Amino acid sequence: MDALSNLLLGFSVALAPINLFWCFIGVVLGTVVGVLPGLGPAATIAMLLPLTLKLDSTTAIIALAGIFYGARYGGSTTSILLNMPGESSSVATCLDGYQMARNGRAGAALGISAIASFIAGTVGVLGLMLISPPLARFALRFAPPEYFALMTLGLAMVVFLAGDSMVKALLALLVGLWIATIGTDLFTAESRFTFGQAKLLGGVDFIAATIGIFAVAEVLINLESRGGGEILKIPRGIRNLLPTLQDLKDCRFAFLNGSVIGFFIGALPGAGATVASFLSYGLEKAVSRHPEKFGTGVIEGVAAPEGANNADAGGALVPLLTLGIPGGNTTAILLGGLI
Amino acid sequence: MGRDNSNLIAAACLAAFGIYVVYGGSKLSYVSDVGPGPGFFPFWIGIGFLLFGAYQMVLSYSSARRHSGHVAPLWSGSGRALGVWLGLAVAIALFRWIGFALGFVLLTIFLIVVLDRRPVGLACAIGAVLALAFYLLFEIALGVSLPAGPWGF
Repeated sequence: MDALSNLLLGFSVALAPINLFWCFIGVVLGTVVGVLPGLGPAATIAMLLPLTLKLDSTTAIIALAGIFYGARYGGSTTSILLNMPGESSSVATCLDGYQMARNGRAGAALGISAIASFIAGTVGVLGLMLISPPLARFALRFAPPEYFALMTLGLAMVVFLAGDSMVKALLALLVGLWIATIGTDLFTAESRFTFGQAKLLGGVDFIAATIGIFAVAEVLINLESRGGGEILKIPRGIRNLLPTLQDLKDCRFAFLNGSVIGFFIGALPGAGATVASFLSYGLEKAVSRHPEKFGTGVIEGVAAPEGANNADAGGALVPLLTLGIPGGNTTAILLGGLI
Repeated sequence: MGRDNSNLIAAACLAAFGIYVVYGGSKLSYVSDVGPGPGFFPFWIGIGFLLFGAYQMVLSYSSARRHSGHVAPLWSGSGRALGVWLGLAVAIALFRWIGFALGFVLLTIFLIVVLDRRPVGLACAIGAVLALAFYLLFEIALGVSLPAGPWGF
C-alpha cells in the first residue's frame, strides 16, 4: 500500500501544470541538443543546473530529466536525415535510418523513432518504478570481468553488421580499437600514438570521430559524383510521413527488444547507451527473417536502437536513485542537481 | 583487361599501417604491475592489421585474377573527394591563424569555385552567409567560442 500511495503522490506531483510545462521545455531543449552533434545532454544539464536554485527543486529535476530523455530521442533526427549521429547512442540508427530516408521513407523513420522512444522510455520508467532495488543490487555485482565480457559482446556484434566481407568488418573493428588506444594509458599514464600533441593526450573525441566517419564520408561520397548527387526523395502525401500499421506490426519485437536490452544495459554503471543500441540492433538483425536486408533501410533497424537508447535512460536512473551511484557523465551531473 | 586494385591497395596500406602500430606498441611496456601494459593492445592490434590486411590482399588478388571484367576506378570522382578532404584539412589548420569565419569562406570558395566550377560571387555569398549563420548559432545562441583570428572573429 505504501508503494501505491507513493506512486499516486508521484503522479500528483508530476502531473502538476507547472511541472508539465517545465518538462515540455526540457524535452524540447533536449531534443534540440540531441540534434546538434557535439553538444551533449551532460553539458546542457551542467549549464542549466542553476535552475535547481531558481525553480522548485522538483520542477528543476523534472526539467533536467526532460533534457536527458529529449537528447536521447533528438540524436535520431540527424542520424536519419543526414547520416550524422547527433549523439553517440544514435550511431546505430544511421545504419538503416539514413537508408530509409534515401528510399523516400524519412517520415516513417522519424515517426518510428519517436514511437519506439516513447514505448521504450515508458517501459524504462515502469522498470525504474517497479524493480529498481533488486536490479540495482544485481548491477553492483558486475565486476571488471563481467564488464569486459559485455564490451566484448558489443564488439562481437560486428559479426552481424559485417555484410559481404567479414575481413573488412574486422579490419574496421581494429581501426576503431586502435583509435581508442590513442591518448594516455589509464594505469601507467604513458602516452600512446599522440605524436607529441598535447591535445591527443585525452584521446580522440568520440563525436569528432563519428562526424568524420559518417558526415564527412557522406559529403565525400556525394562529391565523388559531380552533378549527380542524390537528393533525398521527398515523401508525398500525409500517409508517407508516418509509419504504417504494417510498420508498427513489423516492429513489435523491436520495441520489446529495445526496451528490455536498453533498460538492463542502462542499469549497469558505465555501460552506456551506445552499447545498448548496438546490442539491440544486433539482436534484431539476428532474429530477423531477413537479416540480409538490414543496412538497406529496414524499419526494425531504426526502432530497436532508438528504443534501446531511450530505455537506457530509465535504466541509468536505477543505480542513481537507489544507491546514489551515477552510471555515466549525464547521471553524475543529475546527481549534482539532486544533491 | 584491367582489374580493380582498390581493395588490394587499401589492404596493403592497412598491412603497412599494422607494421607501424606494432612498432609503436613495441616501444611501450608490454606488461605493467597491474596487468597488460600500454603496449599490449597496440601490439596485438597491429598484428591483427598485418594478418587481416595480408589475407585481404590475397583475397583481392585471387578474385581479380578470376574476374575478367574491367572495373575502371573513378579517378576523377576520387580526385574531387580527395580535394575536398585536403581542402578541409588545410582549412582546419588555418582556423587558428585566420579565424573560423575567413577560413570557412575560403573553404567554401575552394569547394564551389575550384571543385564545382561555379561563379566566384556565388561562392563568396554562400560562404559569408554560412559563416554568419555559424557565428550566430554557436557564438551568440549557444555561447560556444569558435576559433578567432587576429581580427577577433
